Amino acid sequence: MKKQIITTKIRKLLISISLTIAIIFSLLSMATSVSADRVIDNIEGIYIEDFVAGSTAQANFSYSYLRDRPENPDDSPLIFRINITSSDDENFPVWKGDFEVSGFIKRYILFGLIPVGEEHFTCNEQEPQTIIHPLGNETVNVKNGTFYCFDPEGNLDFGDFNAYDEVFLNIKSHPALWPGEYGLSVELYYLTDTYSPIVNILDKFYFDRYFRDGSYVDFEVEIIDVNLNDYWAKIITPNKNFSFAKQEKQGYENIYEFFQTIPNDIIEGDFEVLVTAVDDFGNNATDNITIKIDLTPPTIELLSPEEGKVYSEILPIELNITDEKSGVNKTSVKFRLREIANGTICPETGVPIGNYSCVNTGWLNIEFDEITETFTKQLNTTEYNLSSGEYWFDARAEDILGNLAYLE
Amino acid sequence: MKKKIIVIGIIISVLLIGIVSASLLDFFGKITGSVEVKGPVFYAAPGKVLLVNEEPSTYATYEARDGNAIVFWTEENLGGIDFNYIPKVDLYIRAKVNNATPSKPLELIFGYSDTSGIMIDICSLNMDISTEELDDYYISCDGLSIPQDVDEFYYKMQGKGSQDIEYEISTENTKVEIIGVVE
Repeated sequence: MKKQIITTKIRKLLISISLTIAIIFSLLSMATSVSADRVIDNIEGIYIEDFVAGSTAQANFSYSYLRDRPENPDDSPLIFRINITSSDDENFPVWKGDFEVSGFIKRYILFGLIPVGEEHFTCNEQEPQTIIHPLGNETVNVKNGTFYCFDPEGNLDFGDFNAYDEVFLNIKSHPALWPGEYGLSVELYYLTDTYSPIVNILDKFYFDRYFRDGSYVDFEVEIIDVNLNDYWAKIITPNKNFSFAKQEKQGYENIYEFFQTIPNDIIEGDFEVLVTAVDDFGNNATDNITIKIDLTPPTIELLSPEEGKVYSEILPIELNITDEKSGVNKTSVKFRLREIANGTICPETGVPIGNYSCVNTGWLNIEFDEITETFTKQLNTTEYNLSSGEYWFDARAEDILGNLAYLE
Repeated sequence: MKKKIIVIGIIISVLLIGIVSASLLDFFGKITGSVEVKGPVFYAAPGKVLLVNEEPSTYATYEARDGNAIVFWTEENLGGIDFNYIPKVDLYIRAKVNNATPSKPLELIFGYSDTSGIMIDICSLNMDISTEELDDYYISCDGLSIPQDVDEFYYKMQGKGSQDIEYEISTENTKVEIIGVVE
């Protein structure tokens, strides 16, 4: 009796030491854990009663998947690997076909108090076989006696709740099965997501145009990843990168909006707009498009009137205006004539100069001639009350972005 | 059982610490148990059927004179399964004989037919029936070879006495148990 008591004490001591070590290691692991290792708690089982070959036995076990644990991310797949081994593996190993396994899970929340449903899964010992899950598909080699059980749509977590799972296995054995002791183990598996997000800039044609500082740029991107963690878009320039604001498009799944007014410190050139998405597992993907920044105003060439030439009645005006990038805004081209009185150009407001008044036509429109591809106008000097004298001619034109050029 | 769970808990905790995500598919928890699998039991049932692991709820009696055998067959074709051991079996029978003095031999044969229909004995022994009222008898029997290509099992009883000896067999408690492996 005394020996038994001592043995029991030693056993309790060993268990206590082991538990303490395990707890310390667990705490250390939790404190430093940044990996994707999941943890299950409150494990019970496996419970299985002895059975006869050729019959179906039911085994069960249970565990909690606590989503509060930092190790346990959402959307972890539900994958079991069941391994059945013979205690005399040398002489009577388990072969494929010796067992058939199927099962289901009863899931509870709130400390196992509230049932939230049943989830059935299939088990397969086919060699090889592919685990299918939205996180990724993985082909695995399957040893004799091993079954992979999973539900492609099944997850370990249940929304915002800690899930408590009771797992029931139906194990059907072959009548020719060697009668003896068998070991049964169940391992929970997770898939590491190696799938990169899918990133598609949807309206790439939108970038066929030019932009400038002050332009409002907005575009949509389709980003697909079940574990999407973050996403962003930037304009990459040699001097500086410019970020876009972002938001999910309301009412649309996987569509994200990026928008930004281009700041005035951007330089001219063709630059890459890079959209990047990264998931919880560090997989990332990008899509890109070129954004063209045009800060150069049109070039204005005066073809007529000629410098110093004398005109009477009709003053022919012809301007050749070009803009290699965004193009000339044809409605923006204007000219004016200002009288030069006493060597002074009539002010823009046309107010009198000293004791003299002066003529200022103000900015006048000039039409684009499709034939000559120049801006032309035959100005009737009488109509504009242009008396004999010297006039200062100037012109202005904008490209379609509003980059403004003056001819003075 | 409680001790086992505690030990398992410790193993799992230690395993959880050591595993680092390295591959696409990785495990993070292990739950273990063990189970004793016994050999199948074949029950004689009315209709001369041999039920596998299913004890019948009704019984029937059959009479046999010498030269006439009573054979119980499994209903389901197993399709040619292979054993990987030589079975050691216990043969049970509930029987009587019309003249039990001296006791009369009744041959008990447990065997199978393969997928080509050939009947192969796993083991056969003579059981002396020594009662004129139904009584339970059993005998252990070592198989001779590893059953291969098994399609159906049978349990056969055949009288070995003279022509005027009549045996009566009840399906109650008449069964074959595979109890282990012939070493």
